[in-house]
Amino acid sequence: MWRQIALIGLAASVLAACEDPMAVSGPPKTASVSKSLPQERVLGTASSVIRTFHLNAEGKREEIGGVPCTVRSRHFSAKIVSPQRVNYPSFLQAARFEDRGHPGTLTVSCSGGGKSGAFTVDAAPANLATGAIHARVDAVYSDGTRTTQGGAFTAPIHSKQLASSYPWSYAGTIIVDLDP
Amino acid sequence: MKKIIPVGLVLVSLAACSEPLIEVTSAPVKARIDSSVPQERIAKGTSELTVRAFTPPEGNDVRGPEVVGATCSLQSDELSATAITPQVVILPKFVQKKEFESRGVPGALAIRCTSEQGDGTALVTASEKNATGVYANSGGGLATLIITTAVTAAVASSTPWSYPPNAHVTVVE
Repeated sequence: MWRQIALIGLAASVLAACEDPMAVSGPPKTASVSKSLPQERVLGTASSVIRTFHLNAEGKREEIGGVPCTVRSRHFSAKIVSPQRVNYPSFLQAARFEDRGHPGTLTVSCSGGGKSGAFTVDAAPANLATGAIHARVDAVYSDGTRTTQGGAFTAPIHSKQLASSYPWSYAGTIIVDLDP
Repeated sequence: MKKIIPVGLVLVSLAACSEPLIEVTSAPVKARIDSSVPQERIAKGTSELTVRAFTPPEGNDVRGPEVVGATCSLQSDELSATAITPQVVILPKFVQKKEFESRGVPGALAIRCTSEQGDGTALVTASEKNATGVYANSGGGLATLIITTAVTAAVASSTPWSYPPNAHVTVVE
């Protein structure tokens, strides 16, 4: 069954990749950060683009814009209109923090035009090194499939070990599928 | 992937066209090792990390004018230091051993700089070999936040972990 799910997911990713993504309009939205978040746990910023998809009248999956979405985690929240980029803190990963500073999950809830959807994505070490290594997950779809940015992913010999020192990151693109 | 190397060369070439770096005249500062770090994790030898601060670039410049006198704190699970830009920080190397958690890789060094020209941050991660440090800016998302060096499969698994030689922090008002 998992193989079938993987194939379906792969097919969905390929189909999604066949069409140009809708241009992100408007400036990035900066999330409101909880005052209780210790500043020592964050360093700089990270961001994700929120996109929404639905099935059109022909039953074809296509991107839909102008959908209001709420982006919410334990430490920050924002309201955006898809497709839009949201900026939020970059969370340090370190042994000196509880649970190595893991910031928890990020939930994106979208609703508009009689359709709604939500997707929760977990934070993972941003295994993103400038150079030949590019392991960041670029897009997470609400059906669970993932794509990697750039298509070429070369794992370093000790990527797992190096990942222990990288900040926590959410997907660069988060896609929410809307259902009636 | 082959395209990445030429892009890197172009970046290095462009960096070379910017204003020359200010000579470091202050004495190097040695990072403090946290007392909780077992001695067996510390390898022989040290590495030097030159901390510099810059204002944001304008036009096609790679970086803006260098900032002298920015106060930068460096903090990781194992190390801490304070540097006044431009200054060299002497860092220990860490033993790479499969018996250690994550093969003994040290934590990332979080750098926070404050100056009259503004504040900036950068994150420096360890790698298995020294190479030309990659310049990073603050506030541009993860892709430009991390300073590290590329790790290749050719690197021996027993090479000590060390940090890259340069940390360039962009300070923004």
